[in-house]
Amino acid sequence: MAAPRYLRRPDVSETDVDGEIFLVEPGSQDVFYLDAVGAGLWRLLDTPQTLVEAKTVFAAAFPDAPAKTLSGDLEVALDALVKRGLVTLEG
Amino acid sequence: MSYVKPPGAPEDAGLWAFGPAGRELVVRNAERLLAYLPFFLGGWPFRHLDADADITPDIEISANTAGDIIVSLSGPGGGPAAFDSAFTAASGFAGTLVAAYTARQDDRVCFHAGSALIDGALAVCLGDSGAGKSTLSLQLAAAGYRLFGDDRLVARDPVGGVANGVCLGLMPKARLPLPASADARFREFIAGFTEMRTDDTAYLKLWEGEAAAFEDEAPIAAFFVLDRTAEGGCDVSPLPRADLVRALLQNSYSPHLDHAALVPRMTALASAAPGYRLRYAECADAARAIIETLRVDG
Repeated sequence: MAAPRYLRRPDVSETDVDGEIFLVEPGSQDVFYLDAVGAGLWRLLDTPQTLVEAKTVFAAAFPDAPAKTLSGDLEVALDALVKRGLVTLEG
Repeated sequence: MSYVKPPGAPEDAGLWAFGPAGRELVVRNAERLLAYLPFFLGGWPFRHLDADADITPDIEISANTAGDIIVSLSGPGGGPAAFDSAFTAASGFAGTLVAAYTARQDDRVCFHAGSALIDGALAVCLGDSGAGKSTLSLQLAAAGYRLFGDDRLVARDPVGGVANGVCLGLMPKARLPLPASADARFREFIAGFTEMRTDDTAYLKLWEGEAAAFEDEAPIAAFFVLDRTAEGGCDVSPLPRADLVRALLQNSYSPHLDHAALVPRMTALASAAPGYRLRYAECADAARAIIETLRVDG
């Protein structure tokens, strides 16, 4: 069975401010702020990603970061995006 | 909600129009609050309408069976609010008029801010509740700079990279007692312009020389996000644009706009004027820092 892919919800509105991103969840109208790293993850999810694919990209982007820390942080960030209704899991 | 005439309202209570011609807000039964309204709002034109006019009011003033006065705004972001006296209801009514006025105009957003005119452009102070927006803007007024508002400001969407602030005509208030560190000039200013006072608030009436009039406009020179500290000192540092957008959103008072519309508009505002973080302990020092910053960067 294929691994599930993380996918941006297309109806979330997005405003880029100098590389950082403000998102608005359309149902609740809650505003979420993503710093440069969070914004990078959001941009990555422009194309649906499995957890392994996302970890591979981030490991290449932050070669000096401890792999375990980076992996844990990424899982937490993805989980937060899903819980806030900004990203869905497909498949 | 069924309509109940507030206690003391005259029998011919009817419809009133508030605001500039062509953008008037219709209010039913404003009579009960008119005597107190000047403590909170100045310079707004208003007139009595034909009692039989077939107009749906934007704001309705009524009373409930407990004797509370209800101020109810129709439309997006609206709803009823209850007040236990005509004085507090007049304050709520002023806020409701301002909210409805802002909502009527597509090119404007409103936020909680203190503001004063320095060398022809506005210093706009943002911050959490208690950060000193109101006191600092009054400190600037006491130093001779024209007050645009101590609590709220409307901003037009930028045109040609310039965003104008618009005075709402809300009357300033000073929290009492004044800070122990308040200097003699500030104390004299507050005492001299106090129209009425309660134990914890001085309601001020400034004149044309000290305060802008309703709908006066001026370009916004800079936003100052206030960070009051007990540690002493005073410093001003540039604020990243994303942080300014966050501050503008946190201080937003535009319930008629959904956030998907508000974020890009606040971003445009943050692009039209620079933001600074102002860390301070004493308002007099902060006022001087604002003036110096605008003179150096202006």
